[in-house]
Amino acid sequence: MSRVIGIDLGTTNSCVAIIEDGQPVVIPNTGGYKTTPSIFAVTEDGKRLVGHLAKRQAITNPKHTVHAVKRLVGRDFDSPEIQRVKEVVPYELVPGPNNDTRVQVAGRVYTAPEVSAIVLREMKRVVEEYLGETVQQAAITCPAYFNDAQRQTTRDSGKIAGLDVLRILNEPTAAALAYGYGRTETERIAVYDLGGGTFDISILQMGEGVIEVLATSGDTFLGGEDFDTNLMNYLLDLFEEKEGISLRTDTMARQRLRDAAEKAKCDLSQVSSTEINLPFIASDAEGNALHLSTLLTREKLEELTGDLVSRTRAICELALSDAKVTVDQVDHVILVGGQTRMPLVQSFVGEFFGKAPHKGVNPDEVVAVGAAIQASMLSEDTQGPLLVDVTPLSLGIATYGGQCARMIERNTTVPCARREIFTTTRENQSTVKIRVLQGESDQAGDNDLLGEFALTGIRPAPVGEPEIEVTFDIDANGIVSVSAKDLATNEEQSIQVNPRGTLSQEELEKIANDFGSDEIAVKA
Amino acid sequence: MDQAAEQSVEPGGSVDLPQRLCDEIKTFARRLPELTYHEVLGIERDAEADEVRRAFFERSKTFHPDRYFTKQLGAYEPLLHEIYKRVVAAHEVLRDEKLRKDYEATLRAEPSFRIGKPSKHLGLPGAESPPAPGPEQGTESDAPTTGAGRSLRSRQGLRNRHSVLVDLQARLEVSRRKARSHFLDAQREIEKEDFVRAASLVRLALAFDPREREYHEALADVVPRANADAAQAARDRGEMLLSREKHDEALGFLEEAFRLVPTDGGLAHTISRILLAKDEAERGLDFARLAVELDEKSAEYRKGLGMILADRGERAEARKELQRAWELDPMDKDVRKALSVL
Repeated sequence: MSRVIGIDLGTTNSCVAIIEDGQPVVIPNTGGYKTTPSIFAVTEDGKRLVGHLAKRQAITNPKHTVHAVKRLVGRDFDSPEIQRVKEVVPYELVPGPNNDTRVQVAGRVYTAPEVSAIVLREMKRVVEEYLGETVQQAAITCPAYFNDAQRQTTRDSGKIAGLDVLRILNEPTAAALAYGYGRTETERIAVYDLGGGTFDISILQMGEGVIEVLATSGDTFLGGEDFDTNLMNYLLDLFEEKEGISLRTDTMARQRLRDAAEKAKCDLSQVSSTEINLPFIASDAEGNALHLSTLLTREKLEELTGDLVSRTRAICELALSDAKVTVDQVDHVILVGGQTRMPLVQSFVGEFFGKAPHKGVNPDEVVAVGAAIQASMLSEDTQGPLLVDVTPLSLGIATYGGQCARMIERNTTVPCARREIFTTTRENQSTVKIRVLQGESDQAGDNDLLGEFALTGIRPAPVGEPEIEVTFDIDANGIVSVSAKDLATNEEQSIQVNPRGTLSQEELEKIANDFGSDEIAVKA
Repeated sequence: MDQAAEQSVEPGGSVDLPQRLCDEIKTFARRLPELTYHEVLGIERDAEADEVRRAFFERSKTFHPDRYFTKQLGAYEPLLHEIYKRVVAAHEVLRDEKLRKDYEATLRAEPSFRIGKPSKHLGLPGAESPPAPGPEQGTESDAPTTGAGRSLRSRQGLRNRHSVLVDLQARLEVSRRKARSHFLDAQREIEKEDFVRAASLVRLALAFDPREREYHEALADVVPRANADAAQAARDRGEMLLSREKHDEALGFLEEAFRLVPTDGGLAHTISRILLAKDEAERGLDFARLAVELDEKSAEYRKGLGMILADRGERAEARKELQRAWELDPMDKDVRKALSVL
């Protein structure tokens, strides 16, 4: 049987790991780096680049260099989030036929899962080169707070990349698996995961060979990229104030500023001040070159990004309350994601949880390691740690007047089943429509529609008399089945809610088929 | 005997599990309907929180489906899932102090009562005793034991031993409490004049306790007011969705609005147009007729109906409608053209 791998498909960087002789190993890419930028580019002469090669040329080719595609995954083009992203990314976003968000690079439109697949294929290649054999089975991680469509889209990406996806695993859970690997203590931990694009917090109970997720919460639009954006906007303002020239529409200058912002942000995790020097960033009316040069202190950075850190507080509180755990009952806090290197983040976490964060794990690699552990647990006869996970978002059905009746609360252990009795809203109503919803709102319209079906043949009766039993069932893979039964007639209807990604089945197959020929282009 | 049982659960051929585990799963699944949550986890009634967790972990290690991810499970797969779902339900109740207390109280109330055994309680709806006193905040959403209703008919579910079953008596109590809690919520909504929400809450209360007169009276009072509000809300929402071109979703809301207050020709006309675009010609025609009936003076609705009829080859009737449309609006070139074609 071939080896199984764990892939952390990150917003900014991706990482891949395997279990070798019972030990997790993070596989370096050909350049010797253990993480690979999740960046894809097409050069002027049509060459496709992935990873470090793509990142290196981003400044000179910003329009055809796609970064942070994970932020587009499973989102409608006209959603406010995407419209905001559109403002800040230099590459072009276009709507797909299902209103999904796609990117246009060098005259070709790529779907979001396709770009993710290009990154996944690269990670697959990294392992195969290291092992000298092909690999197929993988566990891939995603933010805990991803919804069904985003998860399915991640699964689709794996499929396009030629992977057999054993499981889509939550990032903080993966981190906890890695942390708990080989530990025997019974303890409660919190995983604070502030990555490139998303924030997740999970509370877990571990010990006796089991890791149980108690609660998880998050924000899929809060991450290191937002820190970079805040800092970049500050630099743009600074330049405009000084020179009277706006660089906001100059994509190349913006890309240089973004890079400089990211680098300065990272530097300021080590030193208390750093210099930003961008010569020849623009020219004035007479054609004289203009430069941007400024000293940036850690204090200033913290002032610019403090509100982002504060946003994580309420989310942490929610997770603790869902887990029915107080701050004192948390034994350890684990930091995951590159952005947690920032001293401000660390001091916030220390202050909030009342204890210094655990230092033993590498925040960039720990998620991939956890994914590899889970993949190997699923595929082999190991008595490795068993993961007991929860469903991150509530599930329910639409009821009369556009309400949403919750059937399964968020943070319920899976697999699980719930049943409730519902009734009709009209005299002699013969059909009820069951719309399956995901989300936290009491208004049906604000939640995601996962699927719908009708129960027909209800015996004529006054309003409120028929009893319709609705059962929700989630299996270990997170697949939701819903059935409705008229208790008077025993008529039953059910559906398996096939998670829908943003691609139709036909399109997915077509892309997956075409993808093989793409790889030749990559290597050419 | 054993072999017969073996065959009855293993029609699916090869099973990739040790025999000992197969037997354990089979026995556990068979007993599942009659086990209390404590018995499901294998703990004493007075087990401490730590023991509950440890027992849950132990059961998880044996019965979590991920343990057998690559194995051929055959007919054992659904059994394993049912067992584990019950383990999860037991844990969710017993780990929570309040839920556990409520659950244990129902066990004490009727210690000998078990699902699956014939009992005359099953034959009675049990509405003689008054509903439980106060609303139990929280039980509604958290308790996995909720909501299987209070009726005789829930016996149907019992025959299926694979279902997640809970103590019937507990269900009854919880149902009544739920009903009362929904009803109190409904009264709060009535004070806020949100009749739609109030009506759906009273209906929910009735679904859980259909014998309570108070609920029926409240419903009769609130429904007409709710219908008017709901129709308007559904219509607003439908029109909003329509403006976003979400036709399918809009249709549901608009139809709902029309059902509630079936007097608006314009609405019928709009619904008809959406149905036609969806190729639901029959129903589209029905609504087009309704639109004309409700608003005889509208050239537009006549024209809509005429065009549909013409498409369907019902020329005589189509001509009649288009003729009337033309009389009402002689400037409409489309109508004139359609008439001349006919």
